[in-house]
Amino acid sequence: MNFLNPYAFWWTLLLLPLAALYFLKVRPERHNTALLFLWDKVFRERQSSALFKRLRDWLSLLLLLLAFFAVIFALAQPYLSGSERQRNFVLIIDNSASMGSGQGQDSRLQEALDKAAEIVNNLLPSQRAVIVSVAGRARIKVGVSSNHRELLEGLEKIKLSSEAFELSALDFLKQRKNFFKNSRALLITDGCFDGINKLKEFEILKVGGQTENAGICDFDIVRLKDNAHSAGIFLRCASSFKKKIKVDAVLCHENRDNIVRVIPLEIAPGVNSGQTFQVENAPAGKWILYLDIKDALDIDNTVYGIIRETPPIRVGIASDDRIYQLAVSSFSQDGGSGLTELVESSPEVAVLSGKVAADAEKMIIFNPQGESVFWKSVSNKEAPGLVKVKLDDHPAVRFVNLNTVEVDEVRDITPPENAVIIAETIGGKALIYKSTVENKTAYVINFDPLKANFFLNVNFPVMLCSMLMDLAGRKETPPSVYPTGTVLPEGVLERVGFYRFGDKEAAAALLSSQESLIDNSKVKANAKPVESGIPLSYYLFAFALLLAVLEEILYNYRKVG
Amino acid sequence: MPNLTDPQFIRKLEMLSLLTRKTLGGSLKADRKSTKKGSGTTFADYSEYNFGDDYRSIDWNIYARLENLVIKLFELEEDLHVYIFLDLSLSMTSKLDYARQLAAALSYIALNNLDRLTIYGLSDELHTILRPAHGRSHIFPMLDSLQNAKCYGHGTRLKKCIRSFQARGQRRGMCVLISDFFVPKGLEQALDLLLWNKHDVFCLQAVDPSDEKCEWRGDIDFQCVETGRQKRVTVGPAEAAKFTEAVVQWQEELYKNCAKRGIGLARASIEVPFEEIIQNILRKGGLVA
Repeated sequence: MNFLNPYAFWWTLLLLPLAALYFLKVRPERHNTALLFLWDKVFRERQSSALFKRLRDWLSLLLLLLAFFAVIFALAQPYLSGSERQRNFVLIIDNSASMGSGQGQDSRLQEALDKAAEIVNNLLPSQRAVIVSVAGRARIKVGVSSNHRELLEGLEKIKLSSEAFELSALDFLKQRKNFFKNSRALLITDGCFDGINKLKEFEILKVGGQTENAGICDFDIVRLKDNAHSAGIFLRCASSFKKKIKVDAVLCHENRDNIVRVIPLEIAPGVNSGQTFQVENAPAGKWILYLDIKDALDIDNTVYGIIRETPPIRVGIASDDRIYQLAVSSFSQDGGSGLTELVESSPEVAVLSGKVAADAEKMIIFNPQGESVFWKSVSNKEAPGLVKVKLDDHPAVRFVNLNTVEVDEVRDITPPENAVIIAETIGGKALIYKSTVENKTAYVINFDPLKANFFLNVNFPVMLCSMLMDLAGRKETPPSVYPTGTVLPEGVLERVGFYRFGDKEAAAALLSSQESLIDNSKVKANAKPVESGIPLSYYLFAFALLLAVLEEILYNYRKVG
Repeated sequence: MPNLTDPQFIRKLEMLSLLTRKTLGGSLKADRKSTKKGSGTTFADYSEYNFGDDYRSIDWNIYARLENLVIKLFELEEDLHVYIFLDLSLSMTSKLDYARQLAAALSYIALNNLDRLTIYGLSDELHTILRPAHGRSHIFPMLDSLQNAKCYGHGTRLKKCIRSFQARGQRRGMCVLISDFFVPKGLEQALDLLLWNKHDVFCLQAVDPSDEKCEWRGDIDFQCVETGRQKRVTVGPAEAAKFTEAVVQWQEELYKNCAKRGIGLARASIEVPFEEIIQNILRKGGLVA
């Protein structure tokens, strides 16, 4: 037998004063009487119980000491060797979307919460616990606490998440597993995620059984570039049904009442291969696709997406060299992406060679010559040079690798004071910089792309397009739908559906094959049984109470006769 | 402690003395009439002259008329010997003041009626509180003596005390015993001794109600106030009831002993004013006519 709190035995030092107090307490009252001879007569008949009377003080003291020892033992919190009752708990409750399978009180999450509550209720006063919920991220609901009510309230705060379970979320806990030493980390989960067998640090307490579900695990909807009025849909489903099922996928625009198309699907067990569909006359905006099926999990039956309309950047080219037209055209509608459009007049961005356009506000100037507001002096001396990028993350060069690329006809140039030098030669000559002067913004590229065959390098059109998008204020086209749990600069997409952040819109859906498959039949629980029942110290307290009552009865008998 | 020489107290005693009417034999001429015929001043009867009679009592006028010698008989005026025995054992501690008041009242009456009064203290031996006194002039010394009487001794040895009283060759008279009569043994012999000596005996029992019942419960270490003997007992409701029963039995035994011997017995509870006792209880007990 071991003790959680052996220091409690220091209380045995109180035995001597306790015994002294006891004898003071049971000391009989002394009274004078003139009728002692009558008392002799009264008690002459009761001689038979004299032995008990002589011993009862000691018997009473013995009871009291036994009760005291029982209390000390209880305070020392004894436990049998091998018992787990002295260990603390980190209770991690999986509240990912798949835990919502089943209805209300029968859901896997409720089963997990019930199990956690049972563990909390069985905690000894000396045991502490941490309550954590985990889905896409881990969230600590209650810090280290031994307060049952606080822990139970923490459990009540755990609600079903729309996020898929992310194994990486547990890394956060692995780093903080030492909330306290001597703890058991229990992950209460349905196990619908990859890599559960790798979780050596956690004991798995499995909830939920095998159930049938089908859901959409991948989805995308985009405007087709070759047809400005049609949209392409990519769809992939997963199913835990044992047989192939036929389901209608219903495509709606803006809301569920506006059905655009019903797509008959055949979903085989497991993760199906992707399917694409084309929808004619698909306007931009919100699109909803749902599977018309009743299964274990509703959240994965519906996906949301947004078709975004982005106007092309109107680009004017003031150069006879066709390399600029070719580079810009590769991102035009004809090129497939529709990012750019060559125009003759009123361009948003002008691409120039050697000089500055007087009427353009945004421009890209290659091979600068002469005088300009964007450079103070430029020499006639030309020389080749190797590129050294100074700002790798700059939008103009983010998607290209220019380091050690050789360029030619590099001149000594003096950029404006406010110029941002993006790249320079190994020798320190400014090669690429961005500057704003007199409300005009320009990228200046201090070399001739025709020389040293730079125009043949794939970095040339990419860099040019990046500069065009930066100057035109076009960002990358966001995806039509994000998985739930995605963190955007504007906010976190915690639930499925559409979001609006100012003038921007986003859509979120579950999109997780593991959550949709929902099959946890292969998951094996490895958690050791959690000890429950009344601890030994409680029995000792009860025993002490019983002894104290017995002693009190004896004492009371002596007080009242 | 009440002051026995207090004027108010003395006025009470004066009033009580007016109620006293009792005639008993004695050798001194006192205020009260005697049943004996003798040499008093009040004519009672005639009697035939016998040899040896006092010449001075011959009624010579009768002799002149009838030639018979007759003598005049007068009512003999005698004093009374009153012996008051005041229990001064330690058991009387709670009742001493009250017993002293009772003794003072009876003594006052005796002295006021010109009886011969002697007061003794009873305990393990006999102490004289007031030597034989006669007349009103001894009232204040008597009160002083009672005032100064304290409890003494270790136990009540009544028989020994009465024997000691007898050894002093006292004349017959009225013996008033003021006590709680918590005497384990020797009471009957003491009473018999007094009766054998032709004394009129009257018992006045001073009672403290708290003595007669036990309010204590549980483990109690009883100590006898007189002998110092200790007894450790556990008193419960049953024991307390038995004790009360034993006290009642003891009282009944005392009453029977007195009644059997023709001795008057009166109970005087300390909760009742002493003058009421003198007026009512003593009257019923037969001490006062």
